[in-house]
Amino acid sequence: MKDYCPNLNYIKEMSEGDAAFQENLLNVMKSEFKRDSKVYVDDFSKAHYLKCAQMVHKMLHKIAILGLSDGYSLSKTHLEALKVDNTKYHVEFLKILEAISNFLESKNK
Amino acid sequence: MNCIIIDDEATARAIIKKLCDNTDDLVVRGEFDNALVAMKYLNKNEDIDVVFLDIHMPEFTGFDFIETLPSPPKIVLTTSDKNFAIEAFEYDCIVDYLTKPITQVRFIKAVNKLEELTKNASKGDYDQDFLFVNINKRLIKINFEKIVLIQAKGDYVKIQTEDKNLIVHTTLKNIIAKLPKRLFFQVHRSYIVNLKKIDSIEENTIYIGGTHVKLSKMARPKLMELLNII
Repeated sequence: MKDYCPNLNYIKEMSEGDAAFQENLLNVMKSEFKRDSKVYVDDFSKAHYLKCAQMVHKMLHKIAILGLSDGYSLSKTHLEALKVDNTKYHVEFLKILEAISNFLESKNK
Repeated sequence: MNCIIIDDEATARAIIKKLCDNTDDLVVRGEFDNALVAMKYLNKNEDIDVVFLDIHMPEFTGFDFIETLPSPPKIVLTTSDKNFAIEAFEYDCIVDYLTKPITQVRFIKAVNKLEELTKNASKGDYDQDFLFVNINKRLIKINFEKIVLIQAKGDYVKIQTEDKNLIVHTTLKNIIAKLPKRLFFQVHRSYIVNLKKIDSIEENTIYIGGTHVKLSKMARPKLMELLNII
Protein backbone atom coordinates (compact mmCIF):
# COMPACT_ATOMS: atom_id res chain seq x y z
CA MET A 1 0.00 0.00 0.00
CA LYS A 2 1.34 3.39 -0.94
CA ASP A 3 0.88 6.90 0.36
CA TYR A 4 0.01 9.29 -2.41
CA CYS A 5 1.36 12.81 -1.95
CA PRO A 6 0.27 15.30 -4.61
CA ASN A 7 2.36 18.42 -5.19
CA LEU A 8 2.12 21.75 -7.03
CA ASN A 9 5.51 21.59 -8.81
CA TYR A 10 4.09 21.50 -12.34
CA ILE A 11 1.41 24.10 -11.63
CA LYS A 12 3.98 26.48 -10.10
CA GLU A 13 6.28 26.03 -13.07
CA MET A 14 3.36 26.76 -15.43
CA SER A 15 2.19 29.75 -13.43
CA GLU A 16 5.57 31.53 -13.39
CA GLY A 17 4.40 33.52 -10.38
CA ASP A 18 0.99 34.31 -11.88
CA ALA A 19 -1.08 33.80 -8.73
CA ALA A 20 -4.38 34.50 -10.50
CA PHE A 21 -3.70 31.77 -13.06
CA GLN A 22 -2.69 29.31 -10.33
CA GLU A 23 -5.84 30.00 -8.35
CA ASN A 24 -8.02 29.74 -11.42
CA LEU A 25 -6.40 26.48 -12.53
CA LEU A 26 -6.82 24.95 -9.07
CA ASN A 27 -10.49 25.99 -9.10
CA VAL A 28 -11.01 24.42 -12.51
CA MET A 29 -9.23 21.24 -11.40
CA LYS A 30 -11.17 21.06 -8.18
CA SER A 31 -14.60 21.33 -9.75
CA GLU A 32 -13.73 19.06 -12.67
CA PHE A 33 -12.13 16.48 -10.40
CA LYS A 34 -15.13 16.44 -8.07
CA ARG A 35 -17.47 15.88 -11.00
CA ASP A 36 -15.30 13.23 -12.67
CA SER A 37 -14.80 11.31 -9.41
CA LYS A 38 -18.53 11.24 -8.83
CA VAL A 39 -19.18 9.97 -12.37
CA TYR A 40 -16.50 7.30 -11.88
CA VAL A 41 -17.96 6.10 -8.56
CA ASP A 42 -21.52 6.09 -9.97
CA ASP A 43 -20.47 4.16 -13.07
CA PHE A 44 -18.50 1.70 -10.94
CA SER A 45 -21.51 1.03 -8.72
CA LYS A 46 -23.47 0.17 -11.87
CA ALA A 47 -20.62 -2.04 -13.15
CA HIS A 48 -20.21 0.18 -16.24
CA TYR A 49 -16.50 -0.54 -16.34
CA LEU A 50 -15.82 0.72 -19.83
CA LYS A 51 -17.28 4.11 -18.88
CA CYS A 52 -15.14 3.98 -15.72
CA ALA A 53 -12.07 3.37 -17.90
CA GLN A 54 -12.90 6.47 -19.96
CA MET A 55 -13.21 8.53 -16.82
CA VAL A 56 -9.90 7.20 -15.46
CA HIS A 57 -8.33 8.24 -18.76
CA LYS A 58 -9.75 11.73 -18.34
CA MET A 59 -8.35 11.91 -14.78
CA LEU A 60 -4.86 10.72 -15.79
CA HIS A 61 -3.89 14.24 -16.80
CA LYS A 62 -4.76 15.70 -13.39
CA ILE A 63 -3.00 12.82 -11.63
CA ALA A 64 0.15 13.61 -13.64
CA ILE A 65 -0.18 17.37 -13.12
CA LEU A 66 -0.17 16.77 -9.36
CA GLY A 67 3.07 14.81 -9.61
CA LEU A 68 1.67 11.44 -8.58
CA SER A 69 3.95 9.23 -10.64
CA ASP A 70 3.11 6.06 -8.71
CA GLY A 71 -0.56 6.99 -8.83
CA TYR A 72 -0.29 7.56 -12.57
CA SER A 73 1.17 4.08 -13.18
CA LEU A 74 -1.45 2.43 -11.01
CA SER A 75 -4.22 4.38 -12.76
CA LYS A 76 -3.02 3.29 -16.20
CA THR A 77 -2.94 -0.32 -15.06
CA HIS A 78 -6.41 0.11 -13.58
CA LEU A 79 -7.67 1.66 -16.82
CA GLU A 80 -6.50 -1.33 -18.89
CA ALA A 81 -7.90 -3.78 -16.31
CA LEU A 82 -11.31 -2.07 -16.36
CA LYS A 83 -11.51 -2.56 -20.12
CA VAL A 84 -11.63 -6.31 -19.47
CA ASP A 85 -13.95 -5.99 -16.45
CA ASN A 86 -11.12 -6.52 -13.98
CA THR A 87 -11.73 -4.40 -10.86
CA LYS A 88 -8.67 -5.54 -8.92
CA TYR A 89 -7.17 -2.02 -8.65
CA HIS A 90 -10.35 -0.14 -7.79
CA VAL A 91 -9.71 0.15 -4.05
CA GLU A 92 -6.18 1.42 -4.60
CA PHE A 93 -7.44 3.87 -7.22
CA LEU A 94 -9.95 5.25 -4.70
CA LYS A 95 -7.01 6.08 -2.43
CA ILE A 96 -5.51 8.17 -5.21
CA LEU A 97 -8.81 9.97 -5.69
CA GLU A 98 -9.04 10.63 -1.97
CA ALA A 99 -5.48 11.97 -1.81
CA ILE A 100 -6.17 14.35 -4.70
CA SER A 101 -9.51 15.43 -3.32
CA ASN A 102 -8.02 16.24 0.11
CA PHE A 103 -5.11 18.05 -1.51
CA LEU A 104 -7.26 20.21 -3.76
CA GLU A 105 -9.61 21.07 -0.89
CA SER A 106 -6.70 22.12 1.31
CA LYS A 107 -5.03 24.22 -1.38
CA ASN A 108 -8.01 26.13 -2.60
CA LYS A 109 -10.45 27.05 0.14
CA MET B 1 -1.22 32.69 -35.85
CA ASN B 2 -4.87 32.29 -34.90
CA CYS B 3 -5.61 29.10 -33.01
CA ILE B 4 -8.38 27.21 -31.27
CA ILE B 5 -8.22 24.62 -28.49
CA ILE B 6 -10.35 21.47 -28.53
CA ASP B 7 -10.31 19.33 -25.41
CA ASP B 8 -13.09 17.82 -23.33
CA GLU B 9 -11.06 18.46 -20.17
CA ALA B 10 -11.32 22.01 -18.78
CA THR B 11 -7.97 21.68 -16.95
CA ALA B 12 -6.19 20.90 -20.22
CA ARG B 13 -7.85 23.83 -21.99
CA ALA B 14 -6.79 26.21 -19.20
CA ILE B 15 -3.16 25.03 -19.43
CA ILE B 16 -2.96 25.20 -23.23
CA LYS B 17 -4.57 28.66 -23.16
CA LYS B 18 -1.92 29.82 -20.70
CA LEU B 19 0.87 28.37 -22.86
CA CYS B 20 -0.56 30.15 -25.92
CA ASP B 21 -0.93 33.43 -24.02
CA ASN B 22 2.74 33.21 -23.04
CA THR B 23 3.64 33.07 -26.73
CA ASP B 24 3.60 36.28 -28.76
CA ASP B 25 2.70 34.52 -31.99
CA LEU B 26 -0.47 32.71 -30.94
CA VAL B 27 -3.91 34.24 -30.51
CA VAL B 28 -6.54 31.95 -28.98
CA ARG B 29 -9.77 32.57 -30.88
CA GLY B 30 -11.86 29.86 -29.24
CA GLU B 31 -11.95 26.99 -26.75
CA PHE B 32 -14.20 23.98 -27.28
CA ASP B 33 -15.00 20.93 -25.16
CA ASN B 34 -16.62 19.23 -28.13
CA ALA B 35 -15.19 18.56 -31.59
CA LEU B 36 -18.54 18.87 -33.35
CA VAL B 37 -19.08 22.43 -32.10
CA ALA B 38 -15.49 23.27 -33.07
CA MET B 39 -16.11 21.92 -36.57
CA LYS B 40 -19.06 24.28 -37.02
CA TYR B 41 -16.88 27.15 -35.83
CA LEU B 42 -14.11 26.25 -38.29
CA ASN B 43 -16.58 26.10 -41.14
CA LYS B 44 -17.56 29.69 -40.41
CA ASN B 45 -14.08 30.98 -39.57
CA GLU B 46 -11.52 30.34 -42.26
CA ASP B 47 -8.71 32.32 -40.67
CA ILE B 48 -7.77 29.70 -38.08
CA ASP B 49 -4.17 28.61 -38.65
CA VAL B 50 -3.69 26.09 -35.87
CA VAL B 51 -5.83 23.69 -33.84
CA PHE B 52 -4.63 22.23 -30.54
CA LEU B 53 -6.57 19.01 -30.59
CA ASP B 54 -7.10 16.35 -27.95
CA ILE B 55 -7.26 12.92 -29.53
CA HIS B 56 -9.12 11.08 -26.84
CA MET B 57 -12.60 12.55 -26.61
CA PRO B 58 -15.86 10.66 -26.12
CA GLU B 59 -18.03 9.98 -29.18
CA PHE B 60 -16.00 12.00 -31.68
CA THR B 61 -12.22 11.57 -31.47
CA GLY B 62 -9.54 13.94 -32.66
CA PHE B 63 -8.86 11.70 -35.67
CA ASP B 64 -12.59 11.67 -36.56
CA PHE B 65 -12.43 15.46 -36.42
CA ILE B 66 -9.46 15.68 -38.80
CA GLU B 67 -11.02 13.28 -41.28
CA THR B 68 -14.23 15.26 -41.38
CA LEU B 69 -12.58 18.53 -42.36
CA PRO B 70 -12.09 18.97 -46.11
CA SER B 71 -9.16 21.30 -45.60
CA PRO B 72 -7.84 21.02 -42.04
CA PRO B 73 -5.57 23.73 -40.66
CA LYS B 74 -2.27 22.79 -39.00
CA ILE B 75 -2.96 20.45 -36.10
CA VAL B 76 -1.01 19.97 -32.89
CA LEU B 77 -2.25 16.86 -31.13
CA THR B 78 -2.43 16.83 -27.35
CA THR B 79 -2.92 13.59 -25.46
CA SER B 80 -2.20 11.68 -22.27
CA ASP B 81 -1.61 8.61 -24.38
CA LYS B 82 1.60 8.01 -26.32
CA ASN B 83 0.09 5.14 -28.28
CA PHE B 84 -1.41 7.30 -31.01
CA ALA B 85 1.92 8.73 -32.20
CA ILE B 86 2.25 6.35 -35.16
CA GLU B 87 -1.28 7.00 -36.39
CA ALA B 88 -0.59 10.73 -36.15
CA PHE B 89 2.11 10.50 -38.81
CA GLU B 90 -0.49 9.37 -41.35
CA TYR B 91 -1.94 12.88 -41.48
CA ASP B 92 -0.11 15.62 -43.37
CA CYS B 93 -1.81 18.34 -41.37
CA ILE B 94 -0.43 17.10 -38.02
CA VAL B 95 2.58 19.20 -37.16
CA ASP B 96 3.38 17.94 -33.67
CA TYR B 97 2.27 15.60 -30.93
CA LEU B 98 2.33 16.83 -27.32
CA THR B 99 2.03 14.50 -24.37
CA LYS B 100 0.18 15.85 -21.33
CA PRO B 101 1.05 17.40 -19.02
CA ILE B 102 2.66 19.73 -21.57
CA THR B 103 5.79 21.56 -20.48
CA GLN B 104 6.66 25.11 -21.54
CA VAL B 105 9.83 23.91 -23.26
CA ARG B 106 8.03 21.28 -25.32
CA PHE B 107 5.25 23.70 -26.21
CA ILE B 108 7.72 26.31 -27.47
CA LYS B 109 9.32 23.63 -29.65
CA ALA B 110 5.93 22.95 -31.23
CA VAL B 111 5.34 26.67 -31.83
CA ASN B 112 8.77 26.93 -33.48
CA LYS B 113 7.81 24.08 -35.80
CA LEU B 114 4.58 25.88 -36.69
CA GLU B 115 6.46 29.09 -37.40
CA GLU B 116 9.02 27.30 -39.54
CA LEU B 117 6.24 25.75 -41.62
CA THR B 118 4.57 29.12 -42.08
CA LYS B 119 7.87 30.67 -43.21
CA ASN B 120 8.54 27.86 -45.66
CA ALA B 121 5.03 28.17 -47.03
CA SER B 122 5.52 31.83 -47.80
CA LYS B 123 8.96 31.19 -49.34
CA GLY B 124 7.26 29.13 -52.03
CA ASP B 125 6.44 32.24 -53.90
CA TYR B 126 9.36 32.79 -56.04
CA ASP B 127 11.80 30.48 -57.38
CA GLN B 128 9.76 28.17 -59.49
CA ASP B 129 6.68 28.43 -61.63
CA PHE B 130 5.48 24.84 -61.47
CA LEU B 131 4.73 21.96 -59.14
CA PHE B 132 4.55 18.22 -59.51
CA VAL B 133 1.62 16.09 -58.39
CA ASN B 134 1.65 12.38 -57.75
CA ILE B 135 -1.09 10.54 -59.62
CA ASN B 136 -1.02 6.75 -59.70
CA LYS B 137 2.68 6.73 -58.85
CA ARG B 138 3.45 9.10 -61.72
CA LEU B 139 4.73 12.62 -61.07
CA ILE B 140 2.97 15.07 -63.35
CA LYS B 141 4.20 18.60 -63.88
CA ILE B 142 1.71 21.47 -63.75
CA ASN B 143 2.68 25.05 -64.56
CA PHE B 144 1.13 27.55 -62.16
CA GLU B 145 0.04 29.77 -65.04
CA LYS B 146 -2.10 26.95 -66.44
CA ILE B 147 -4.05 26.28 -63.24
CA VAL B 148 -7.53 27.80 -63.30
CA LEU B 149 -8.90 26.64 -59.97
CA ILE B 150 -8.55 23.96 -57.35
CA GLN B 151 -11.50 22.39 -55.61
CA ALA B 152 -11.58 20.30 -52.40
CA LYS B 153 -13.30 16.96 -52.84
CA GLY B 154 -13.17 14.98 -49.58
CA ASP B 155 -9.69 13.50 -49.26
CA TYR B 156 -8.81 14.73 -52.74
CA VAL B 157 -8.53 17.96 -54.68
CA LYS B 158 -9.52 18.55 -58.27
CA ILE B 159 -7.03 20.74 -60.12
CA GLN B 160 -8.64 22.33 -63.14
CA THR B 161 -6.06 23.56 -65.66
CA GLU B 162 -6.54 25.16 -69.08
CA ASP B 163 -6.44 21.78 -70.80
CA LYS B 164 -7.20 19.05 -68.24
CA ASN B 165 -8.56 18.16 -64.82
CA LEU B 166 -6.43 16.24 -62.33
CA ILE B 167 -7.56 14.51 -59.14
CA VAL B 168 -4.85 14.48 -56.49
CA HIS B 169 -4.85 12.91 -53.03
CA THR B 170 -4.07 15.95 -50.86
CA THR B 171 -5.79 18.85 -49.13
CA LEU B 172 -6.31 22.49 -50.12
CA LYS B 173 -4.20 23.48 -47.12
CA ASN B 174 -1.25 21.44 -48.39
CA ILE B 175 -1.54 22.63 -51.93
CA ILE B 176 -1.93 26.33 -51.17
CA ALA B 177 1.33 26.17 -49.21
CA LYS B 178 3.07 25.28 -52.49
CA LEU B 179 1.43 27.98 -54.60
CA PRO B 180 2.62 31.58 -55.08
CA LYS B 181 0.47 34.01 -53.13
CA ARG B 182 0.71 36.60 -55.89
CA LEU B 183 -1.28 34.26 -58.16
CA PHE B 184 -3.52 32.12 -55.99
CA PHE B 185 -6.10 32.87 -53.33
CA GLN B 186 -8.48 30.68 -51.33
CA VAL B 187 -11.89 32.22 -51.98
CA HIS B 188 -13.91 29.63 -50.08
CA ARG B 189 -13.40 26.63 -47.79
CA SER B 190 -13.52 24.45 -50.90
CA TYR B 191 -11.91 26.61 -53.62
CA ILE B 192 -8.58 28.16 -54.53
CA VAL B 193 -8.55 30.29 -57.67
CA ASN B 194 -5.87 31.66 -59.96
CA LEU B 195 -6.43 35.42 -59.74
CA LYS B 196 -5.35 35.89 -63.35
CA LYS B 197 -8.10 33.54 -64.57
CA ILE B 198 -11.05 35.29 -62.92
CA ASP B 199 -13.45 36.60 -65.58
CA SER B 200 -15.93 38.39 -63.34
CA ILE B 201 -17.37 38.55 -59.86
CA GLU B 202 -20.99 39.09 -59.08
CA GLU B 203 -21.95 39.33 -55.42
CA ASN B 204 -20.77 36.02 -53.90
CA THR B 205 -20.08 34.22 -57.17
CA ILE B 206 -16.81 34.16 -59.09
CA TYR B 207 -16.96 33.33 -62.80
CA ILE B 208 -13.78 31.62 -63.87
CA GLY B 209 -12.70 29.26 -66.65
CA GLY B 210 -16.21 28.65 -67.95
CA THR B 211 -17.58 27.78 -64.53
CA HIS B 212 -18.45 29.57 -61.32
CA VAL B 213 -17.44 29.12 -57.68
CA LYS B 214 -18.61 30.54 -54.36
CA LEU B 215 -16.86 33.45 -52.71
CA SER B 216 -17.10 33.32 -48.92
CA LYS B 217 -17.95 36.41 -46.88
CA MET B 218 -14.67 36.01 -44.97
CA ALA B 219 -12.55 35.87 -48.11
CA ARG B 220 -14.28 38.70 -49.98
CA PRO B 221 -12.50 41.73 -48.39
CA LYS B 222 -9.04 40.20 -48.91
CA LEU B 223 -9.86 39.24 -52.50
CA MET B 224 -11.01 42.81 -53.20
CA GLU B 225 -7.62 44.03 -51.95
CA LEU B 226 -5.79 41.66 -54.27
CA LEU B 227 -7.69 42.65 -57.39
CA ASN B 228 -6.72 45.63 -59.45
CA ILE B 229 -10.01 47.47 -59.04
CA ILE B 230 -10.50 50.95 -60.53
